[in-house]
Amino acid sequence: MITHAAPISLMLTLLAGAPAIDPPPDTKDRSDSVATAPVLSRAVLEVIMLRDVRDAKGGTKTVFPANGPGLVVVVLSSTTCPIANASVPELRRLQAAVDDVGGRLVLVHAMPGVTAEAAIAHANTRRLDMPILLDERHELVGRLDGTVVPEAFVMTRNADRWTIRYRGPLDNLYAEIGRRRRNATSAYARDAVAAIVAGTPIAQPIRPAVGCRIDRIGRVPKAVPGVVPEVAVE
Amino acid sequence: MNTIALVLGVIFGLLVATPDPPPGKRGGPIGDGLVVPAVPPPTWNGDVADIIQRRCVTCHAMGRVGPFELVDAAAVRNRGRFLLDVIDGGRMPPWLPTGTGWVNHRTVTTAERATLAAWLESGGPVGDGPARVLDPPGSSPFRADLTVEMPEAHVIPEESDPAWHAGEIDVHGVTFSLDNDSPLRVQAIRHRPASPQAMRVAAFAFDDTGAGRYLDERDSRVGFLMGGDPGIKPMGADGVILAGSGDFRLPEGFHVPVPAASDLVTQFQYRPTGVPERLQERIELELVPAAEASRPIRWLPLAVGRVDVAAGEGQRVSSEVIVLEHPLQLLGISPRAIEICRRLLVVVEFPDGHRRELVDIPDWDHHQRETLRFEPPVDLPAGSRLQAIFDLDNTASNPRNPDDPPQRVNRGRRTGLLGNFLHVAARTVDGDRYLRSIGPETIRGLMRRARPTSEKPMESIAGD
Ligand code: HEC
Repeated sequence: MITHAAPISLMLTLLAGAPAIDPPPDTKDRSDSVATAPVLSRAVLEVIMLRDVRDAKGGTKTVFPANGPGLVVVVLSSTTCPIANASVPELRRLQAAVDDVGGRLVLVHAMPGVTAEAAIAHANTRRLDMPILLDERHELVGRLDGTVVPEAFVMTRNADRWTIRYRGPLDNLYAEIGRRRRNATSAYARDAVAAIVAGTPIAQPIRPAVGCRIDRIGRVPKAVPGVVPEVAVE
Repeated sequence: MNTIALVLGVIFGLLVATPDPPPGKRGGPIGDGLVVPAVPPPTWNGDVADIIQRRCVTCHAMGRVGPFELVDAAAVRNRGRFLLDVIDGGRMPPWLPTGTGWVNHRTVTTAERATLAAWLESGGPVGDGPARVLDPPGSSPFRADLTVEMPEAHVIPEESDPAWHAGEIDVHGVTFSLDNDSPLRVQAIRHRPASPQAMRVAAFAFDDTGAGRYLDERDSRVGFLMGGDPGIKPMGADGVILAGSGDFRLPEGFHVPVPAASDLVTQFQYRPTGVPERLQERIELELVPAAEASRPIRWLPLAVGRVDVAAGEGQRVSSEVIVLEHPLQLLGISPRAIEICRRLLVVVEFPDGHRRELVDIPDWDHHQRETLRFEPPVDLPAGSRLQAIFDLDNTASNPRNPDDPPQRVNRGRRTGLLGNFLHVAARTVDGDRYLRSIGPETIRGLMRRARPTSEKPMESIAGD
């Protein structure tokens, strides 16, 4: 069974006059109702402050600094999802590609209960040196309507909005859960970055991400205790 | 409990997948204002911990093969829907064949699944007392009479090396010399992986021809890189272990015969985890005590040595039919197939004409292959006709197709590209002599034939 990341249009802040982008070929089957431009207002995104795992005092950071680069790649991930972990070498290549063009790549841990300690241990064993944030209350995950990890969001800023130019898997290593190629044959997210830089259309702006499902915080009935932190596992 | 509560319990069981109404509100007036108490939702301590303990913890605990731990309520609750997804998708616990009568059958029952879903739906309550933390079961008894270990590690790369055969699987071969002066009778094999999360499968072949040794010596690294079989004997002919699933153990009274001065040639199938991992495996053998009587297990291949499937096509291929000249007992089957294989079947037609599927794997996954053991063993009378059938799907809609877009698959690993290796025992000395020769003869037959076999599949049973 595939776990798809489906964009739910209601989650996105719709803005009139969004810049023309290639309409995603398959939004029809997957969006809820309204045709969606994958656009979010800066005012909404830039105030989301997430826990910075490298800040020992528990400080927070924004994924989208107001005066930062206009190309941001967010990768929703997990410390324990085997599919996310198998993508780490490609994640490093994506980071290099984003750095090369002066963009910013941020890893956001989306799984409930992950601790800063677990995230740091994970980053150390896997040689990850990009900013790593914890979305403990699913504020960003909710805005992006993230449903599985790993998923990449390649976003560009324009005036008062951020546009999701590509969302989906980093590459085609996995066709489905349990259906893994020996090697990926297409690096979708890197290709999207290259297309943006070259000013050419992105082949397919939305692809279903394959991976570990994110159990969304806030969707559990209120009467019961919420999410309990897990101990570091790596 | 009164009848109404029981009935409500059943209704609750049927309602578990429906989010509304919230569980706390299920009790309430029915009929003429009759009030019944709400059925309490399942709890971690009372219900769910036992299910996870039974079905998942052997692998999903610290130091085991699973990618994360499922030992406490939070770990299970935080991944709730995902766990249900993989259970519903037939992906976890790993188990490929349909049907019953298997040793070590791993599955989640419908009732267990419903309990887990109901628990998640009600938010995952712990229940009375402190939350239970699960311990993986200790390993089953095993007497390591002979242990072999790789002297140094081979490094599993953080991702597969693209330079190496497209369409191949990630394998590393290792030849362990046993230095045995006299023949051995192997009762059980244990595999201890150095990096459990990267290791998937170990396939064994005892070898006294030197074929494995030759390969190992030609390769400067520890072990050797080869996807095929070193000699006549297919890898896995003497057993296949899925990492984390326990030992390869024959029932009492049977053994794998190992000639003097043999090597244990093993093919380790791994899966890169995103970090370099160590492959430095240890294998333990339990032997049948000298005084005990025991019968040898032999291998019988139902295999296809060459396939040619055009891009975008599906094809059903089948092995030659083997007609048994002696009665046999079938103890197990070790299936092996390439990635584009979707379904795999082994069919027997008994002398009286009736047919039975010995194995039906509707959704093949080579990362989950293992020896499937029958309990009790299946009796195959003389005259039984055996055949293996494979449905190959080289279309883009096959999610396991390694090529995107699909490419022509034209391959020959003549010793059994697609194979089901039957683990069989004869009842008589003559029968055993027959069995000793038929395996190698069948493989030699495959090697002589350059073309795919033209044998018709036993359609009436294998047809969809
Ligand atoms: C025989 C060992 C074994 C058992 C038993 C087992 N698992 Fe797994 N599980 C694994 C392995 C190995 C993986 C990693 C698979 C991979 O990377 O291909 C895994 C992966 C998973 C994943 C991640 C998805 C994926 O396929 O990578 C989930 C979720 C999961 N298991 C849930 C469960 C649940 C729930 C149970 C019990 C009902 C269970 N497992 C029982 C070995 C096991």
